Amino acid sequence: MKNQLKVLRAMRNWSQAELGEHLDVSRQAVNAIETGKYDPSLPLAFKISRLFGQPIQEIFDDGFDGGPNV
Amino acid sequence: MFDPTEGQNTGRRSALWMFLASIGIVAIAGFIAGFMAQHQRSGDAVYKGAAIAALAAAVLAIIGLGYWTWRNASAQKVHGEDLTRRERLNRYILAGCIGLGGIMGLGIALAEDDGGPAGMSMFSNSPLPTSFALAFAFVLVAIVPAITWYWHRYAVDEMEESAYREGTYYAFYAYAIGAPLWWILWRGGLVSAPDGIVIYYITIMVCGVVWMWKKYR
Repeated sequence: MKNQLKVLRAMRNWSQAELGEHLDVSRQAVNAIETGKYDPSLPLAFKISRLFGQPIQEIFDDGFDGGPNV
Repeated sequence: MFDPTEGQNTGRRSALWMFLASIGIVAIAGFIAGFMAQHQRSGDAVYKGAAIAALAAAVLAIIGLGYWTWRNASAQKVHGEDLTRRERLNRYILAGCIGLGGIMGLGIALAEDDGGPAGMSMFSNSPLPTSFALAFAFVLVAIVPAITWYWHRYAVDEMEESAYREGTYYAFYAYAIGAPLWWILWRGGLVSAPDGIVIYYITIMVCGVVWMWKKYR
């Protein structure tokens, strides 16, 4: 899943390890989420959303284009 | 500090070297155990100069690799990046488990004397002293589950948990297909009889390889 995590992290001038510390996950987990290799759980997505003060759908993009299929 | 080039900086090289070093420790421990067993069988009461030198070199190699692994495991930074709390704890636990496994492997190798080749005691089915078997069983039943619970509860994050789950998924199918395959081929007279401990090692290895691949890819 595409996401804005790297951009948001850059805006705070945080390293992956620093963001990992804020989210209580490893640096590998931050890297895997940023590169789209791992999709976070809903609780972690909410944690990310709260940390950056943005709605989940602003941070994560599931590719849904607004068509009839939900 | 933010580094836009850090995307692939996952510390996998460090983890790979630690993995290879731990295999080296186990292999050298097996060599020592086999060497001592061979010496015992030869009937010599004392070790001669060359034998002492070989054993000393092997022990020094284990100490060196062990120290290097511990230094790596306890490093506060990887490629200039701080480790998070979970990563540090994870590394300490893994290094501790490698040490515990090495001690247990060496103990088994020294406790048995089946005349097999050095370093193969991990795959042996020869008898062990009852007291040693009970001590080993206690470690497996009481200590390993406690370490595992602590590791899952405090060291592993959800991404590693997911990688681990995927590893067990592949390992289950390796077992579910591999074990009856071996059994059928044995009944057809094509291979030797199925060996439970070899099947166990293959299952664990499949789990470990997939887990590491998912974590560090």
